[in-house]
This record gives sequence, structure tokens and C-alpha cells, in this order.
Amino acid sequence: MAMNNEPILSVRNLKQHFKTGVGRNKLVVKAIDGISFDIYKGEVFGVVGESGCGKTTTGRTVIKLYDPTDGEVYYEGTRISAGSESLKLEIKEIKAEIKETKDEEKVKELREKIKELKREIKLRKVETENTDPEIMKNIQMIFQDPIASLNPRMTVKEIIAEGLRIAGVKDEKVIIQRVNEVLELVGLVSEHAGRYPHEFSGGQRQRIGIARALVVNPEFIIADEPISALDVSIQAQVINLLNDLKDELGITIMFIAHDLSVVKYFCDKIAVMYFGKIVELASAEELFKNPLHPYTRSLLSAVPVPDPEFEKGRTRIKYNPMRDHDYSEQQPSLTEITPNHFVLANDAELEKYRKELK
Amino acid sequence: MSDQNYKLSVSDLTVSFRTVNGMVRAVRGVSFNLTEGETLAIVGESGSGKSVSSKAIMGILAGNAVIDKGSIIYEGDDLTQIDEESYHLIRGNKIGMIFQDPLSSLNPIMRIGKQITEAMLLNGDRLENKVSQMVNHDRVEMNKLNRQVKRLKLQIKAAKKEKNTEEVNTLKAELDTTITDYKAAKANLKLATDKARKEVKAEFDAKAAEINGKIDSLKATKTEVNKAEVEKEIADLKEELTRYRKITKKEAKEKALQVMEEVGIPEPEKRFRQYPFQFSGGMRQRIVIAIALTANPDVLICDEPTTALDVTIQAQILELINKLKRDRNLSVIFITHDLGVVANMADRIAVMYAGKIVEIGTANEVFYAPKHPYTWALLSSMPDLSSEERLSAIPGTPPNMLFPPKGDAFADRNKYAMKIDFEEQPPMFKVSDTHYAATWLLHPDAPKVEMPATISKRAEIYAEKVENGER
Repeated sequence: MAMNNEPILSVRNLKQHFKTGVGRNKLVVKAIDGISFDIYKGEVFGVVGESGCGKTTTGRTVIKLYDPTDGEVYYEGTRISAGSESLKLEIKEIKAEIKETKDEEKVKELREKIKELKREIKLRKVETENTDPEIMKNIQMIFQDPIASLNPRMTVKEIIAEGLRIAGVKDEKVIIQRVNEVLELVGLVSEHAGRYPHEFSGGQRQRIGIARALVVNPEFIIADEPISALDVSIQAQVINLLNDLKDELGITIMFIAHDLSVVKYFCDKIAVMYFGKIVELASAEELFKNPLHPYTRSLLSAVPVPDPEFEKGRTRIKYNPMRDHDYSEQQPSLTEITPNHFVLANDAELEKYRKELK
Repeated sequence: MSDQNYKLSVSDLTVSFRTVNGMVRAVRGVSFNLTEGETLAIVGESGSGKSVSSKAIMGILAGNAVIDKGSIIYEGDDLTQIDEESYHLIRGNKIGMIFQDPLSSLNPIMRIGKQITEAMLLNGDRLENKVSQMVNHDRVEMNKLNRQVKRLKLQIKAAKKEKNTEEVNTLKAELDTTITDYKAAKANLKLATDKARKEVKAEFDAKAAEINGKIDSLKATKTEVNKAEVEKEIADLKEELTRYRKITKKEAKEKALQVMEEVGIPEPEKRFRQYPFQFSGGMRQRIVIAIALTANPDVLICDEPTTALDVTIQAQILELINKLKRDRNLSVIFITHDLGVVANMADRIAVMYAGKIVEIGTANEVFYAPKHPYTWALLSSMPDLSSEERLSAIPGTPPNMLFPPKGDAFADRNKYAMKIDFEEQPPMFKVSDTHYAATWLLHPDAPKVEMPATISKRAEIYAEKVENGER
């Protein structure tokens, strides 16, 4: 693992809220509710959690399929997308303050602050909307469902070449050569280029999806449950392929999944999500050795293991947020408890976890 | 063991599908037995025929499916032969099924309560059910003769082709007597049905008279003071009478609420009136299980019940199925492709590949001493929580079942394949009384092959445990 201190992707306090309905029926779904993490060059960053916990939304927001409600995403130091809900709230608060204060000097100061915030909001909007395509080219995504994510009316060559064409490559010779290269890279042959997606099996289709992501030479790939739609015997093929690509091309991967044994096998670092928040973040080894958050423990205790003797002795730990946490006095925050091991907890819980670690 | 001990016995089942491209051989001779109170897991990848086998047991195969051969014996009846009417008594009532996707197996625009009680109310005519049960023996007898007639006709046709006049004549004589028997049985069934109807009607009339008499006497005692009380009592009596005749909505609801409670749905009263979209994935799967349980089946077929769910919910549903199995002494057929799930659930495991069972044995035998290369490959292609080394993926894809391979179907993807694997199908070799595998590697003349390291490591740990007397 090539360890580098420069994070390739940094996410700061990212929020993604979906609003539906109007008036009485208005409903805000907080899919992601303030998460922060760094992904370093060359590592595989796993995101796990139950369905509906926001792991797919995280991936999609990072690659800018959604505009974030709040928070910032940096790619190699450049801000690629940001939301400004919190800034708007701040402006509201300041305006209320202005109404109350009578001190001329202070009002002036506050007005200046509002102006500054508004400038920042505008800047964030402009940056989000006009990100340099050269940067975005470096981030690619592999989707979950290899059937739904490939256009049935395009040949494999057209599907794979689309990214190249968007990136501005016009020379047909170069395109064909590049398409054949990636096809070979993912274990298909150049004859496959003229066929349509329905002529392939599930595993092969997922390879086409991977080839499409690889064609523009990305540095960073978001893999959204790339194997959960595949058969057992094919899953291993795809995992091995991703592993090879990581080693040969040095690609950084964000791996979203709910199968913990695969995540443990494949990832260097794992973030456990629960209801839009990261509850624990640590290296794969550490997380499985010393799980601290009750949700992580519950998740680990539920992993099915192909070993009857182990299964007979299993005791599943149930997670009940109402019972396991007492946040009436202090709200929890993601805190580094040992080097590179973060857990969502308040002070009292941190104390408890520290004792358990010793 | 004699056949009587088996709850369900499938032998040499062969199912094909007629398609434009030809016959797809989905299941090619599957045999297994299910004893009472055990869980048999059928494991295999998609297209291996595991779902088709279970659908054949339920009698819900698609229209273009043909059962070429084989039998499914349940309580002395061959399910591949019985008519649709007799199947109604078995499907759902005796053999229940839970489907893979809880979202698509529930009706989105029908309240949960109605969906759970629907089957109960439809089958709720108690008098007719009683009649049907009383004459069941006669009907079975008639169907048996009917089948015999059909079989004899076929035999005569075959004999005619061979120009075997002598045999044709004897068969014809036999056919004639069978037809007379059949006609007699048919008349007998009609008589018996009429008689049973009359009996049941008389019983009902007696009961009605009794209750009506009670009501009348109660009416006589009615005064201004106890009016409300008496009226309530009368209503109760009337309800009792209707319940004697059929399952009432009220009764169905009581039963539904009880089953919902049993499968772990909190606040069943409130949930009863909600729609499927208001339930989470795990809760929806519980509803599907509840629907299957209302009819008190004794065999439950679970077709990948947890594939659409995530780990924690999956563990809950598995625990639920295990609990129900113990409480109700169910026999379970559990279909899945996840070996981790199987380790938790199964007493015995059958591994299917390309329409055949390639290995069958108890859970411990299949996990710690597998013999078939396909089982090895399946076991070692899954990472468990301790695997570090590169996964050994199974190369290639399953064969096209339009043209099933001549030899061992797995030979193309098998690194241990020998010449004979491509030429001849291996028979089931016996490993122990409960453990069989179809691979030429078990032939006495075959070279000795070591199983992959991941499995042998696991097996060693287990053997150590046995030696230390922990198990």
C-alpha cells in the first residue's frame, strides 16, 4: 500500500438533504447528515452500513451526481463541490442580531460579515457548477446494477468510448486502440467491442462497467456495490480484477458495500455509517479487532460465516440507539480515540471505550 | 430407512422448458428426501435449477415447463401426477412457500391485513372443507385408477408399435377391467360426496337448531334491565353459528394478529391496516412469512428469503425462521447461494450445479470434508473474515442448458478435470451413509487430489475441536 500524506479526496461536514412535498406534507430526508473523511492516495476506502443509511448517496454526492446541501468536497486540494445551507443559516442569525442591536458600529460590522458570507455562497455555487472537467475526469464510478447501468441500444465500444469523446478525443484510431486496451485490461477481448450488453453474462457486464470507468485513466474510482448483483462464483472474479487494477494502475478506490466479509478482505480503511452519520472509522484490521461503537458490534455479530461450528455458537448483538446511548446531556461527535481510529461518541462514552481498549 | 419416514421425497426429477431455441434442460434428475423437522439447504448459482426444483414441488412452474420424468412423493401422493383440485388441498395448506423479493410478492395497493387473511377467507367454507376431507380417500382412489388407465393406454400404444399382439391383448383386458373399476370409483365418489354433504348438512342443522333454541329462550328472558347483556349474548351465539359454517372476517383477523405477533411485528393491530410501502424490507419479509404460516403448513420452502436484505436484518429473519421451525416442527427447504447463511440454518446441504445435485451431505460433512471440486470452488471463492490471500475465483461461466454437456457439467471450469469428465457423467459416489458426491475423483482409480488450503485449514480446526472433546 502506497501511503501518502496528501489526501486525494477530502470531505468536510457533508450534508445531503432531500426535500419532498409542500406545506403540511413537507418532508426532509437527511440522507447524509454531516460526515467528514479523508481518502489517501492508493488506498481502498470501504463504506458499509445497512440499506438506506446514505452510503450510496455519499458516493453519488462526491462524484457530483447530486449537489450537496451543505459541506465541502475537495479533490487534491481543489474544491469540486460545496453546499451553503449553513452559511445561509448564519446570515439569518446575523440579520436577527442586527434587528436587536442598536450599536451603529456593530451593525456595520455585521453587515460586512453578511456581505462576506454572500460572496462565499456565490463562490461555492460557481465552483460547484463550473468544475474543471480535467479534474472530474479523474473521478469515475462503477454502478451497482450492471444491467440497468449500460444502455441496451449502444454497442460495448460506444458505451466505453463515450467517456473519451466527452473528454475531447476525436481521433477514431486512438479511440479504438484505447477501447481495445481497456477491454483487455478487464479480461474481455477486442471482438466483444461490437456486441450489445444483452449478449453478455452478469459478470462480463460488470467488467464492461469497469472498463467504461477505466477508459479515461482515472485516479480515483467510486465502486457502488459492484458485486452485490452478481453470483457467488462471479463475485470473486470481479474482486480479483479490482484488486489487480489497484495494484497495477495505483488507483484509489472508494468501495461501497454491505457485505462485511468482502469489505474486510478488500479494504484498507472502513467507515461504518448509520442513519446518515459515520459512527466509526478505522483501518480494516483495527475495526474488526476493536469495534467500539455498538452499531459496529451489532453489524459484525451478524456477518454470516461459512462455518457451521462457528454459526452454532454465534450470539448476535442487537443495536437499539435509544437504549445504547444517552445523549440527553451531550451530543456525540466523531472523535479520534486511538491514532486513526475514529468513533462517534460523547465524552462519557469515550471514557467507557478507552477503558474497554485497555 | 423406509420411505415412510420421509416428509417429502423427490426422485429423479427432470424439468425442461420449451423455448423458441429448443428445450432448456433446467433440472436433470434431482433426488433428495426431507425428513420431519429438518432443514435441507439447496445451494447453487443462478440457473442451477434450485428455484425450478422448488417450484415443481409447489406445482407453480411456468406454462412452458414440462416435467419429463421423476416423482415428488408427499404423504403417499405423487405431486407430479395429481390433478389441480387435489393440489389445492396441499399447496399453501401443507407446503408453504416464502419468495425472494418481499417487495414484489406483496400487492402494493392492498392493506396488509387483507393480504394475510385473504387465503383464509377464500378457503373458509368449513362445511365444504369437511365434505372434501371426508371423500378425499375416494377421490385419491379414483385418481389412481385414472392414472392407471392413462398408463395402460400408453403401454398398449408401445406394444402395438412392437407388434406384440399377445401383450396388446392382455393389456387390453387389463385396461377394460381398470376402466370398469374407474367408472365404479367415479360413481362411488359421487355417492360418497352426496352422502357426506347430507351428513354435514344434518350436523349443521342440528347445531343451528340448538343455537336458535338458545337464542329463543334468551329472548324470552329479555327485560328492560338486562337488554344490552342479552343482546350481546345473542350476537355471540350468532357468531358461533356462522363460525361453525365458515371462517368469519373477525376470526381471520384474530388468527392474523396472532401470527403477526408470532413473526415479531410490533403493534399488529395498527400494522394490520397499513400498506406494504409503509413497511421496511425486513418487516415486509415478516409479512410474507406470516402469510405462509396462516395455513399451518408442515413443509416450508424458502426461496432466497434474505438475498434482498442487508446483514443485520438477514440475521433477524434467519433467527425467526429457525425459531418457527422449532416451535412448529416444520420441515424447511432453504434455497440460497450464500454459503454463510447455509452454515447457520442447514442440517443437510445439497449443492446444485447445472440442473444436478453434485454433492449432498450433512452441514459438517459438506463444510469440513467436501468432495466435489465445485463445492471446493464455492467454498474457497468466498472471503471469510480471516482470509488474506488472493481469492480463488471460478473461471468461466455455467454451461448453456440448451445444450447440456455430455460429461460432467463442471468439467470446463474445473482445474482437476480428467479426460473421463468430458466423456461421461459421474454417478453419485457414496462417501458415508449421509454423504454423496458426483465426481470421478472419488473413483478408486482416480488420482489423489488435495482439497484447497482454505477448506482444509477450517477442517483441521474442526478436527482439533473434536479431538479435544469440545464437540
